[in-house]
Amino acid sequence: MITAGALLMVVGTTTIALLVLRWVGGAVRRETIPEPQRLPFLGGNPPTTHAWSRYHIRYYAMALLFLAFDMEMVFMYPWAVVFVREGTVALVEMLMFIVILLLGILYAWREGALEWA
Amino acid sequence: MGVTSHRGAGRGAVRDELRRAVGKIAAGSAVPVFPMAGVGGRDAARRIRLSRRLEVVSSPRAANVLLIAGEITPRLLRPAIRIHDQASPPRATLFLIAGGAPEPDVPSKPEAGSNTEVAAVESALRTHAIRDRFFPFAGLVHQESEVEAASRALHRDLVLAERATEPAIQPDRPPLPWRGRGPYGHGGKGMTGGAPYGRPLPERGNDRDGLQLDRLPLRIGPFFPPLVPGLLLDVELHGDVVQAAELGPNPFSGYVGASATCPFMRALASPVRIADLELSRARSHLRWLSDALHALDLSALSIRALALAERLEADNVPLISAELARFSRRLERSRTLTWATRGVGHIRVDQVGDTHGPVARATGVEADARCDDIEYLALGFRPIVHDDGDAWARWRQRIGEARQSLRLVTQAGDRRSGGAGIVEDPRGMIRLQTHTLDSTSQLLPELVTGREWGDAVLAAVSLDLDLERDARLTSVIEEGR
Repeated sequence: MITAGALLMVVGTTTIALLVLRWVGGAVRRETIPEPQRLPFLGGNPPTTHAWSRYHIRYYAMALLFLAFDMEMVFMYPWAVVFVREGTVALVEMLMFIVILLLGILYAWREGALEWA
Repeated sequence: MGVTSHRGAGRGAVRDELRRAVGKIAAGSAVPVFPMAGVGGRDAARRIRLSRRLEVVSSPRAANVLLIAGEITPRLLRPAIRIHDQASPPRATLFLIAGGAPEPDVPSKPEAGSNTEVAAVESALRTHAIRDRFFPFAGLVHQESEVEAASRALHRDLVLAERATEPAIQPDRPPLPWRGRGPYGHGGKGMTGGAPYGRPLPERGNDRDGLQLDRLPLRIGPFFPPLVPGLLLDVELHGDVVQAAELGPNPFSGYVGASATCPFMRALASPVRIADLELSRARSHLRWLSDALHALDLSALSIRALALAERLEADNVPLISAELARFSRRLERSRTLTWATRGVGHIRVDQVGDTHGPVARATGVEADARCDDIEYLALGFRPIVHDDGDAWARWRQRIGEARQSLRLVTQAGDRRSGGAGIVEDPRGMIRLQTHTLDSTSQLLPELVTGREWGDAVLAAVSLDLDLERDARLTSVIEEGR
């Protein structure tokens, strides 16, 4: 019973809020934007095609880079736990591991994975 | 506004009062101006940067005043109308019809042939006709010095609602009808077929990874601020990368005649003082520098470069020279500039071809008409050459040449050069007999293809194109033949 009342109140309040917003929108709204004003600015010429344009956002390059850093973290947590006990050996091991991953990052950099487009 | 009519008069009065109070503050602010340069209007459109009361904006959407300087040729008319309609209200248009201020190179009225005068009057009449027919509400000034006051007056009247915003020139109709058509009423076939919302979808093509993605075809210009006025560039974009580029027709062609005020044009026919030529060259390079800095959004530096160019006169050369030396040291030390321009728009020596001037000299080609001039050789002239061939080399090239020109001015005295049908102007060599036209602009498509859009713009800026000069040379050479 209480649930139904609460639900009714939520629905009622939402409806009233929507109606008020609609009224405010209508009162504030000016005339609609005319067609010639809706064009994107290209220096004076209209676009010939629709703006729905599929372009490549290159997530895979980002994903590969992320993997390199992620692997580093995955190894670093257990390493940090045993670092004090193992000492210099652990430090050298970690340095070797980071150098190997760094080679991957440098390769990705050379291949233009850090370029924007 | 229709909204006020059914409200109480008292509330309306309060609102009007409030509006006036806010309007008064807004009216005193800098006027957002979008300049559009037609034939002979480029210098005037550029000089509004110097005004503290006017703010140059790079899109008509941000502007309240659209300044149309110079003659609008038929190819510029429709773009100008579209830009007028794209500007968000309140908007007003201001025409500057007189071709701008005369070049300060020639203090007295030159030996203007009657042909030139007739052409100028015809040009003004054509622009008046365009204004009467398409922009009936537009303001009009005849002197460049009046632009600031007229823009401010228009702006003030607009924000105080004492002047109605200009209505759109084009009809309020979608370019292709689409409403209510197709299965979803969006004008297409299915989700993405046909012409949704009145426009077909872009063609697909291989991107750099061999994926089939949309190539967005765009025609940029002729009033796209970072590019020079009149430049039409048809590009196909894959995301941010320019996949193909082509130059459109020159909108100034056939509407620019011989100029009697340009010292380089006069030097083709008769000897002209070297000091005048070199002053004009330095001004041209400094104006380019201002445009290039403006394209990088370095407004304060851009204004500083333009102020140097506009203040430069025969009697203050040492002063400007010293200021330019400081300025150029600052620019050449700038990390931002080198980072943005180094390696951008690289031209190989075999690409130079018929290109002359600073663009060729920044690529290591020591071609300069002044090298064959006995008067210049007597001054100890040797051309400046850079080998890198990228945009940064062209920046340093022009700054270096501007400083060299100022040195030549101080040494030249009354020496004269020219009259042999060959002259080195700020953009290259002009040979009346065997001139190859538009060679620098032909480099542009090759330079921008495969580059990101930002780099493409910087490469275009670094070429220092001037389509009006191209059109002028075409007409002068055709006249001569």
